[in-house]
Amino acid sequence: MLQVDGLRVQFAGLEAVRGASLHAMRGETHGLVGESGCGKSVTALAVMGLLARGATQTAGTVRFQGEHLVPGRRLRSLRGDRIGMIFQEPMTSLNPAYTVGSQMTEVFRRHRGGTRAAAVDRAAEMLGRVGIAGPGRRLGQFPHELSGGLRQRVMIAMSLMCGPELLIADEPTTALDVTVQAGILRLLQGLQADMGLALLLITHDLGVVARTADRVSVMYAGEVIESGPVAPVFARPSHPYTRGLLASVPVPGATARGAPLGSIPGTVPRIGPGFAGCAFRDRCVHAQPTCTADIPWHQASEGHGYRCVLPP
Amino acid sequence: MTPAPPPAIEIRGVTRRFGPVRAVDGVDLVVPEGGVMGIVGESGCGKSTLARIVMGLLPPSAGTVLVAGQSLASLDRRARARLIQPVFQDPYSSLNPRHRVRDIVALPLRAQGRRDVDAPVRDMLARVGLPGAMADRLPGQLSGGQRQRVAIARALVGRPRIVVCDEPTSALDVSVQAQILNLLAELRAELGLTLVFISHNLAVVEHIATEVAVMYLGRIVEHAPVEDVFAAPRHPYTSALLASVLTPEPGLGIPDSGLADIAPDPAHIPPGCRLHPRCPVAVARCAVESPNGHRAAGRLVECLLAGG
Repeated sequence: MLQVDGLRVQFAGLEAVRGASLHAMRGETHGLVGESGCGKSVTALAVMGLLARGATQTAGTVRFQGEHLVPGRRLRSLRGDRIGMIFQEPMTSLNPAYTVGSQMTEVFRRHRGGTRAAAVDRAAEMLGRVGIAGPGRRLGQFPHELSGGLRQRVMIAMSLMCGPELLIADEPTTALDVTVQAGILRLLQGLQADMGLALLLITHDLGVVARTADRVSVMYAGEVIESGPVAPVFARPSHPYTRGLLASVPVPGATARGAPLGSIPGTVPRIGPGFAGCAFRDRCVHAQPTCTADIPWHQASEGHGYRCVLPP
Repeated sequence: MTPAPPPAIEIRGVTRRFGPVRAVDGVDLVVPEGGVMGIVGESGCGKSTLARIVMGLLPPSAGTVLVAGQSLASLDRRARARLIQPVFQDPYSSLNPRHRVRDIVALPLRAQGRRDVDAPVRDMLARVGLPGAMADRLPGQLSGGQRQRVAIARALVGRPRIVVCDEPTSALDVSVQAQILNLLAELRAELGLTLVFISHNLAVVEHIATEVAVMYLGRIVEHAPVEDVFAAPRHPYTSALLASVLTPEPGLGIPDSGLADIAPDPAHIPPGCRLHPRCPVAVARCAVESPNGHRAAGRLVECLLAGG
């Protein structure tokens, strides 16, 4: 459904994304995980052709169902239609001045035309589909009249109006309380199964990825440094960064209480053009002279690979 | 026999109203000397309001707070600052962007009228893991983790007995969060601090706290030593919160908290048990009878149905 190959994005003289590749299949959730500034959101924006002014894609291709996507009219017509999007903060992506109903029907009629009544019916159907009771009443409400969890459900319903095949969700539950988060994730998973969606889920939260994704790609300093099915990646993380990241998450019942958490020394470097080798080497306990050269992509197991000089 | 020393913090019947909103609604809580009190709850539960009251930044509408046996209301700013210091979530907005790190950290000492600030500031920066060269930087030149280290150094430089941390790691990446949690645990042991640690993240609280107080709509609905709460939660809300923690363990699926998806509204606190409209086990009397002060299993569990 979605195939990204060798994507590079430059922003303000820095290499925000350095050769990211990933794919999402029909009915599959691909989790893209990493810490702030790793390039995960920039990757998503590049896929959607929504890079901010000043950011340029300098290499790589994005294919949607085999079709090569480039920013422009064609991608604009796919966006909101066959490619749906959900962002972190529904309050900023919903227009506060318009009712839920008018925003939902506007998207639908722009892409699909038809009568207003048909669009309203569709909107009510989608609100019901995302578990909102009394959809008729909600259509007449403004975003600020809804709770955070309801707003995110409305965002999801809106992204589904045209029956997309690919859904890109950037931190869809980060602004929500934990008890609400679980509900939204369960909803996304159910919709994905019912509608056969491919879901690209961007998050900083390793728990969210572990519980929802089929495959995961871990990004660090603009690169995918490890990728594979979630079970082997979480059970046998192979890149020292992935290992460090997992060790730094406290897990009730598993992490020794009172003992120090695993932590990664230092901070993420800023990578300019011409940088070679592994960006993690200055923070890595396994660093060696070869880390400044080109780094091989090693296969740890079926479909599970990582970019590091350490052998599997 | 000398009388037992007073607890680090004693909160008695504290309520805070903002117009029709009861943000904190009759809280009693004792924080023992040297303990780490984790206060958890979701947005709007009143945990940050309670933190501000304990820090002395907000007067309660009713009730009292005793710090080391003295009424917080009776202490002037200096005396309060000697006893208790805050660390906030966003170190960027809580650090003056135009002051250098050394001046930010020295401020609490200068406010106490001390002149010999250089040595203690240098010592405290080293203790929080900041290289000496950082002393001349501005907050904008630091990473989020470094800024939080500066905030911690500023809180500790005057050697307070108590530090109140309000979501100190929520704005940080997980690997940086781990560094800060390790640092807080280390400093607490070294300096014999009492910590109040407010967070929405149960896994973090489980890791650092010795006791947990769970807040819902302005009240503490369950309070016990951390191991008891995590091994056997007794309040349905605590169980729901625990069930909702997404640990990085594939294959476990997405949990169902069991709570009805109704946003709690502190301007309209339900009668009876405040959780009843959302509670998966509520019965008819939960809508009318108050569970306030209910105990079970030797601890506070404000649920009418919790026995034993």
